[in-house]
Amino acid sequence: MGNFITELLNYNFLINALWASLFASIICGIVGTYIVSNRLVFLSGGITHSSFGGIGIAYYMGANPLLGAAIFSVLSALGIEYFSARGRLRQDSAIGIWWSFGMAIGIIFIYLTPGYTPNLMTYLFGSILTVSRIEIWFMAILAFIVVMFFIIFFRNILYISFDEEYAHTNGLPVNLIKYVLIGLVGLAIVINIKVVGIILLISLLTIPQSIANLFTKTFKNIIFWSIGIGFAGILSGLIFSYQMDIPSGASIIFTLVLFFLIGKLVQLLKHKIYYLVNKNK
Amino acid sequence: MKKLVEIKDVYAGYGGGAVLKNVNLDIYDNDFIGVIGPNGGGKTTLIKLLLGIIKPHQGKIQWLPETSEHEKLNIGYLPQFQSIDKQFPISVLEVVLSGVMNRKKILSGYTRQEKDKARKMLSRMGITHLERNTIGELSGGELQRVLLCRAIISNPQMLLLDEPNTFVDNQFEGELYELLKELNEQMAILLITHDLGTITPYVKTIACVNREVHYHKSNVITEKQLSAYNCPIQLITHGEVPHTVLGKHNKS
Repeated sequence: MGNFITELLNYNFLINALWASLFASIICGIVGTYIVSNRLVFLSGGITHSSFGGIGIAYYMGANPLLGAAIFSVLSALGIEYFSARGRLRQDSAIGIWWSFGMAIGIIFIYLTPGYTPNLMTYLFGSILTVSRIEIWFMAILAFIVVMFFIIFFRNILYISFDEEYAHTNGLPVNLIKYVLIGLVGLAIVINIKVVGIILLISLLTIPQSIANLFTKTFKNIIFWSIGIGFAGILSGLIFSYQMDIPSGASIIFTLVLFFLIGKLVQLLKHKIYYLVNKNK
Repeated sequence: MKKLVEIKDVYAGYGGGAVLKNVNLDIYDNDFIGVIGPNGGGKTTLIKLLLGIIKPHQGKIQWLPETSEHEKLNIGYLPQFQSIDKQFPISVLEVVLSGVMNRKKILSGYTRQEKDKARKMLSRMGITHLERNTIGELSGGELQRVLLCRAIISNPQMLLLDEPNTFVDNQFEGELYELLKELNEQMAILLITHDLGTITPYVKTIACVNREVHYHKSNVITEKQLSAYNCPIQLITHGEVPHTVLGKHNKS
């Protein structure tokens, strides 16, 4: 532990990882609460995995993989929203198809790319220690946009999520807000690929919220708690991975699930104590 | 009497198919319409048409047809109970306040008056103590009351209720109808129900919806009339003692 802190101050990549943890927890805390409350977990999983298609195409064309993933995932997010709003498809089947189709495209293009494809594993399993300065800046900008959007449109977002039809009859800009939100979901996913990787990313958007929901019940509070829990989880996971010399992405998820179990235990104890106290009254 | 809505020769539905055919209906400001009809007959579609959520394929619907274009009809709406996600993390007070959201500018919070009004609504329904609870902690009847608060907090000119008596206990059902009767002095009410029996003393007119809409200008309806309307439903006629007769289902 002491080792980690001294090295933290000496190595730039550790400081980058620290910033990445902070912005990732802010973005995931907010966007994840929207995802969980609206039951968009499966949709988000689909967008995450299909973004691998964008990475593959970018590799093939020699472009920045994350840029490819960003274009791919935002377009697929908007596309899924567009078609399901019109009721033209069964959403869960369509997501299932898109999920695997995106990955298939990724695999084909990476196979076709001549030579060795470096860092492929980074995108699949994440590597928070390799996050670059410029990527930190992108995370900071996205975090700022997400925070501002949720502050300004908080009630719109809350009411549209709770009862879309009623919000519509109340004259709220339902479609506009929903498209912006799903676009933000797409961007949030891509920007966090480096942190835990495509395969593990969905957990960053759902576990902090599930823990938060054990102790607090309103949309706003779940956001605040999720940010804190996410940050604590990513940091401890990072330290854990550093000390044990295991991959950081998996270590972060493992830590978060551990947090969840502890949270569940605390909740059970709280109920038990509450019950005992009231029984003695 | 002021005409609030005018529906003329309207065909409407989801996607390509028309659920409602050739609908003609006028709603006036003192109406209390009970809407009956079989499942899938288009009762909820009619409400969505009135709310402007779905647009007619054919024909015309006009809100406040006799007044200037700038005036907008304020409609209160209680959706079908099943359409609400009971696990959504939102507090009772927030749900009620969402009924005045359309008057808000972005970023401005709720005023003290609005919060007071929301609390007054809750106390009228006898659920003040639930203000800070989330909706997941409520019983079905309590949630219905919260949704009704949301529907009427903005003093609408027309109130649309989609089966408000689902999951409501008998005691509150009686209170609900008395409340609606009171509200009817200030607003038009259109209420979808499966159970015309208990509501019939309160409604003024009946609309049978089964693909077509038959408007019956009285709250007394006979089996013969219902079959003429092609509207198989549990029905009531009331003379000295109210009694219920089961209408025959269509064999076709």
